[in-house]
Amino acid sequence: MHEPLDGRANGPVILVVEDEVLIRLDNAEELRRAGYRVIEAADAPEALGFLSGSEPLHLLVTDINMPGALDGLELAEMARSLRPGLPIVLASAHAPHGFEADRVIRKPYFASELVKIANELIEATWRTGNDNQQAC
Amino acid sequence: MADRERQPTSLLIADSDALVRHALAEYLRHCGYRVIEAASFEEAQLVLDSPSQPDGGAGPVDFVLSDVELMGGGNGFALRAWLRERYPDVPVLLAGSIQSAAEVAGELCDKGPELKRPYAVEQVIDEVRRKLAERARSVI
Repeated sequence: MHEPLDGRANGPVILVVEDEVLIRLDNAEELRRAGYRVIEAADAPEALGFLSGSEPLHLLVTDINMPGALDGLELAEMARSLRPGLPIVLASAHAPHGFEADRVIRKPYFASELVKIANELIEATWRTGNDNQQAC
Repeated sequence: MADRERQPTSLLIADSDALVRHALAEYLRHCGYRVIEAASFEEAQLVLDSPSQPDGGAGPVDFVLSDVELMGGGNGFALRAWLRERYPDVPVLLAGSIQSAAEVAGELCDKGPELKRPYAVEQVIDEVRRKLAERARSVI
């Protein structure tokens, strides 16, 4: 476990979008143990509620295949326009097409792998003080 | 058993409004609880049925806080009824608006929600402590 980067009281904020509750729980708890604040969303519409709000976000991790009107790829597209510069990680059993994510994590994966990716993607923006990726 | 006693109390919040669920969960985490979030009736069931595993799993849940208007195959009343049958030792706290909850509770001949929306988050802590203390007394 590492402390929140640069010792701020609250760590960087990660939005985790996953419709399988036990996977979401596992990922969220591992990321929290690593010092991050985690917002959990069970589907794309829930995630959009946070992406369009004023909560600072430093990383979006989304599953691609989710039930409902929007899948993870469409959510990622919307996130790019709502939060330019927000790093995006796509999780999928298959290679995604049509979206340039910052990172793709192939399912099944260990939550520890996600923490490693989060550390790499967040550290640069967090250290430079770019911690207020609010919606335009 | 000793290991279990050192674990923080695990609370499950079942609420289909992500913004409400997140705000409440963050507050309760800040207060030292382990908080598991469920967005639907089915997610709550999955979490409650999930044993603790070396590589994950929710493990035992000590307390359930559910919104009356939970989405999915059942509402908060249905979740409470399911818990009474399957996990009778797990206290449940229902939250909801007065009118809709009273209508449903009346139909079910069951008691209404203990927490009436809008409520202060401090009330949740009080209710959690009270119900867990009640359970501890009943075990003794």
